[in-house]
Amino acid sequence: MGNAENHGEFLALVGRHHGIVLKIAHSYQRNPADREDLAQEILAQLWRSFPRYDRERSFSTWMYRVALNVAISHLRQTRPQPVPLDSVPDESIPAANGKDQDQRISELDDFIQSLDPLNRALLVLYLEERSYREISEILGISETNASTKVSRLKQRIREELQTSLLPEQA
Amino acid sequence: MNPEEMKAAWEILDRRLAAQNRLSLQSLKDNRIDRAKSALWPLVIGLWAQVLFGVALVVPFTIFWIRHMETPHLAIAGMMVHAYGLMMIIDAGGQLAMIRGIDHGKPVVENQTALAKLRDRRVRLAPWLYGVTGCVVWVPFLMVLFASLGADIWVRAPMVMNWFVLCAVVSLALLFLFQWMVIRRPDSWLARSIADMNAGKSLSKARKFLVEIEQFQKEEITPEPS
Repeated sequence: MGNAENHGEFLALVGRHHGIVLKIAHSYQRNPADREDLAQEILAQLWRSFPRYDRERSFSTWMYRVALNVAISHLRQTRPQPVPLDSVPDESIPAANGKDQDQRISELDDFIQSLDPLNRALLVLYLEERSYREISEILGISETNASTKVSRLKQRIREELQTSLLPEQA
Repeated sequence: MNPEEMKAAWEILDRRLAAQNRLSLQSLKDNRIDRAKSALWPLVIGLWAQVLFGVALVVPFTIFWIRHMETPHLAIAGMMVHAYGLMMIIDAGGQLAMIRGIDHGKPVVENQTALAKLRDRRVRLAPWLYGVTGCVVWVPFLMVLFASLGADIWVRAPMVMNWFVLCAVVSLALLFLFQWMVIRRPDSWLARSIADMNAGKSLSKARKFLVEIEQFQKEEITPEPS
């Protein structure tokens, strides 16, 4: 396949799944400038690795692998930068249980940041609703191990982040 | 927050990120991404430079010791520098082979293990490989250099040779002493300075991550109820 065709195919595939890059960059860096850097580095690595992509296999699985590998290496090499205040909340979606969107996302971000790089990858894949089989293919662990680790993660979420009750429900 | 609420928050985040549309595909469309180098590129360049430097030592010093087989001390000096050059080439070659095997499209644990092993090898081996030999190899190097200029300092200037050998022995002794202090007395100010300066900190980080990967891969025997 010519380089131009390759490039076109690559752009189309990445364009369709670009949310993966954004969410992984968000999960592995807190500072917006670092997130931007990481997102661009992920794109660059996706392009460099594209010749080795097996078209018989799922593109999203391959993309998760590359993106997570780059993000983990990036996290280990960069020093944490000061974190700015959160952005303006999304008011189009009604809040549940009296919590606003910012608070939910802030708790989510704090929990993600508390995890080591590998368990962070596991959490991202769980939140992305990947099957245990996909999680095991992406991470390189057995399906049994993936399901056990997800169960432990869910238990940890329940223990560390207790649901706050509305005053009338207390 | 329970797992289901966390998933709902993740969906909100997804919508926000999509709306903010921060991912710039422009660099891809402009083909500028072709020029973006891998994070390992500086290391690859450095390793190829090491290979070339090794070759630059091996070739002339091999010629030298072959020509001076009749003069044992010069032949041995030439062989020592030749061996040092070979060591540089083999070490760099080994690392380049490891880098070639790194594929970000492989499963996360496999890829991160390969990267961590590369990092671990570099920080663990380099101080001993180059530190120990570096303390010594400059002596035969100077012997050969002076001999090439017509002055066999082993024969003509034994006091100078004795001084060179003494310096090499003292350097080795200091190197082993410093390494001993780092290992046995990690809280001493000297050990902390050395650890901050060189591989000490990097070594523990590289090792720690290898242990983390190993623990992550381990099958957990008693699953928790979901």
